[in-house]
Amino acid sequence: MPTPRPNPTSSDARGADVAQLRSGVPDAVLVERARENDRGAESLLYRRHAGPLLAMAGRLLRNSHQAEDTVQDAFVRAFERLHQLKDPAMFRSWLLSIVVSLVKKRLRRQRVLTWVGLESLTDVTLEQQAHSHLDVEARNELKALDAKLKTLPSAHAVAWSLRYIEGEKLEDVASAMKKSLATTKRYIAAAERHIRPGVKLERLQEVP
Amino acid sequence: MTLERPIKTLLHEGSFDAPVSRGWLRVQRKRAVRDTARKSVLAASCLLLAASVGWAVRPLFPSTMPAAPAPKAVAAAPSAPQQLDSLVQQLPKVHARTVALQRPAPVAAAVVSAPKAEPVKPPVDVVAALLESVRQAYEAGDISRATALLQEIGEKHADDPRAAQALYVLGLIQLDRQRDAAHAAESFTHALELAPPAELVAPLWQALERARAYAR
Repeated sequence: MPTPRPNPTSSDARGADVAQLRSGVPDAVLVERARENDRGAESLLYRRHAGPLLAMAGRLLRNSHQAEDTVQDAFVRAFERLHQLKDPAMFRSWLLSIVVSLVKKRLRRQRVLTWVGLESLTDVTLEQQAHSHLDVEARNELKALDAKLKTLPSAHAVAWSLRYIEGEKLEDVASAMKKSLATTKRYIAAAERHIRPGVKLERLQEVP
Repeated sequence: MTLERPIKTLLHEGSFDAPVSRGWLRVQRKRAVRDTARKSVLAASCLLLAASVGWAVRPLFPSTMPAAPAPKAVAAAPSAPQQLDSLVQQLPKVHARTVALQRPAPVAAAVVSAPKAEPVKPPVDVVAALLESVRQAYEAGDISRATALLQEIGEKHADDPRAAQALYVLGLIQLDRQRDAAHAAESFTHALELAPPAELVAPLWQALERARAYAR
C-alpha cells in the first residue's frame, strides 16, 4: 500500500508556510527575485502583505469586495512597476502608497455614485467591525465617526484614517498619500476640525 | 489631537485567508489580461506607425508600376475611304432578333408529355447573309457587286432595321468611290425614309448635305 503523500493544503502545511512567511526572507530579497520574474517570490510578497492591506482597504472603503479588488489591482500594478522601486526594502510603504492611491480613486467614485443616487454598498462599517465587548456608547461613537468620515473629502478622510484608525506614523501617511508632511498635517487637521464636534474620540480610548 | 492607540484595535479584522488565497489567482489572471491588452495595443500602435511612416515617405519612392499611358492625341478625322472601309467592316453580322428566334424555347412540363412535333428549322437571316457578301465583295475590291447587294437589301428588305445602315453605306460608296453624288443623295434620302436608328440620323443628314453639295 503506497504511503499517502502529505496534502500541501493541510493545516500543518499552511501553518509552516505562514511561519516561514513571518520569519522568512526579507522583502528586499524577494523584490530582487521578483524583478527577475520569480513568480514564487511574487507569491510570497503577496501572501505576506495582502492580509493587512485587505483589512486596511476594507476599513477605508467600508466594502469588502471593493477592498479585495483594490488590493489585487495594487499588486498587479506593483509587480508591473517593480523596476521603478528604488529601495527594495521600502516595498511595504511603496505598496501602501499604491493602495491608498487606488482607495482614493474608489472613494471619489463612491461619492459620485452617492451623489447621483446610486449609493454603493457599505457592508463593513466601523460599527459592524467592532469587537463584541464594546459597549453601546463606544459603538455609537464609531457610528458617528463613520458618518463624519463619509462626508469628508476623500484625501482628508484617508489621511485621518491612516493616522488614527490604522495608527500609521505621520511620515508614513505622507509617503502613502504622496504629499508633503505639511500638507498631510493640514489634511489631518482639517479632518479633525470636522470630526471633533460630533465624535467623542476620548470615549473610544477609554474602552478596555 | 493624540490617540494613545489606533482605533483599529477596537475592531476585529476577521480572517483573510480565503480572500488572500483566491486573490493571488486573480492577481495572476489580471496580469495576464493586462499583458495581452498591452501587447495588442503595442502591435496596433506599431502597425499604425508603420502605415503613417509609409504614407509620409511615399513621395520619396515613386511607384514602380508603369505610368499610365498619356492620352492619345485626338486622331485626325479619317478620310472618306477609310471611314467607308471601317463602316463596311462594322456592318451588323447577326441580328439580335434572329438570335432570339434561333434560341430554343423553354420546354414546359405539359409540352413534355405531348407528342413530339417535327423540329422547326430556324429562319435563315437573309440580310445577315447579304451583308456578309457585301463585306466579302468590298474586301475583294468588287465594288459593283457590293453596291448591288446593298441596293437589294434596301429594296427587298426595307422592313429590316439594318436596311437604313446598308443604304447609308451604299450612299457613301456611291459618293466617295463612284463619285455619283446624285445616286448617293437618293440612297441617303431612302435611308432617312426608313426611320433609321437615332445614332444614324445625324451622319445621314450630313452625308446627304455633302452629296447635294457635290451634285450642284
